[in-house]
Amino acid sequence: MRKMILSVLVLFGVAFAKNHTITTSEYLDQARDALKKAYESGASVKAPYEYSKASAYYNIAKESASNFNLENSIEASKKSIEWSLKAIEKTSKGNER
Amino acid sequence: MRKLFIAGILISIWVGSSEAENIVIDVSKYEDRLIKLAEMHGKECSPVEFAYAETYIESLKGGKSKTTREEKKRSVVKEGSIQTLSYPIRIEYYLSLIEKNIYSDNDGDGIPCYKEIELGLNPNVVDRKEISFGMKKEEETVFPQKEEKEEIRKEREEVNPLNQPVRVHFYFNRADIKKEYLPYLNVVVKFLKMHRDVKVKIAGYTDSIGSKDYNSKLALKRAESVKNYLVKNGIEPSRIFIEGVGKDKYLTSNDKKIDRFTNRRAEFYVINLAE
Repeated sequence: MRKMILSVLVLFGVAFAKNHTITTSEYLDQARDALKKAYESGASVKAPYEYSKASAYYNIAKESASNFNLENSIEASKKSIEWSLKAIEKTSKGNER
Repeated sequence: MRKLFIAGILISIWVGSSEAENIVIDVSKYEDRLIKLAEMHGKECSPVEFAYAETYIESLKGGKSKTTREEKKRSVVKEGSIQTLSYPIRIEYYLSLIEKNIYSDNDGDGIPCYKEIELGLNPNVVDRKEISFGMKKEEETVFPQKEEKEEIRKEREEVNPLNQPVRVHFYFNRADIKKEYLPYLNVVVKFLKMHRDVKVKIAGYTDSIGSKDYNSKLALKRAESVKNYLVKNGIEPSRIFIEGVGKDKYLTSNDKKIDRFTNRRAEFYVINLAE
């Protein structure tokens, strides 16, 4: 009986952790990709403020994830993506002129 | 014995975590410093460090990027988690870097970065010619011929400080001149003393916050404080005219703090330049 309860609890725990880890890591991946694209578009030079905001939020997201603060990590990842997009937008506007 | 040991560990973890939660971080003081640095063109002179400092402050506040005036009045305190405990140190580090970069002179032309931004110059390009106001050439020339004199006169006119965008910016709801503008106003005083035929009009402007009447009075006060400085330094009051424009003729939108700071200004206009 005791073993059964334990195994059910472990299963629940694994399932719960897996769900959250995947979501967080997916967000982190997306944020990293967006940051990479921003860098490749030249945002680090043409839009240094926006690019640095994206980079700072990505760092916070990584740190939060490593501290198991998953909600914070997701929020920071979203912000990072947002700022990467702003950086890319500003860079492309600069190229049009 | 084993149970006691486990209970001890659990209690120490609980006590440790509750201590960390009790640490209070006053975010508003960092925010105030960042606002002051923004007014000193910190964002333009040090965009990377500014972005990092701003992000950590926002993160401490819980992701809020904009603070209303009511929120700013009461000091925003935050219960720190283990991760956020290191943020104030990082914020301090980045704020000190911004302060350093504001006064840095990347292009080596003797003008600090914030000053170049105020004058509308590029902080990464040498601007020695622009700040010399043609004086160097005149000093070097001994008994110039008529044509040469004419050239020098034209050159001086091209680079005279009143042909440059002369603007003095002000803090919110204030009309006192910031220290940083005094050297530039001194150049204007020198120029006006050298050219006694020149009369100037000083127009004061405000940002979009506040009523029209109040802003018109404030704008006039700003123009007046610049006039007072010139008069104090030996310029005849009859040569200076003032006008309070107020909530009008914005240089930029009023969406951001830095934009509003840009709009809060006094400008010089030459109204009579006798040949």
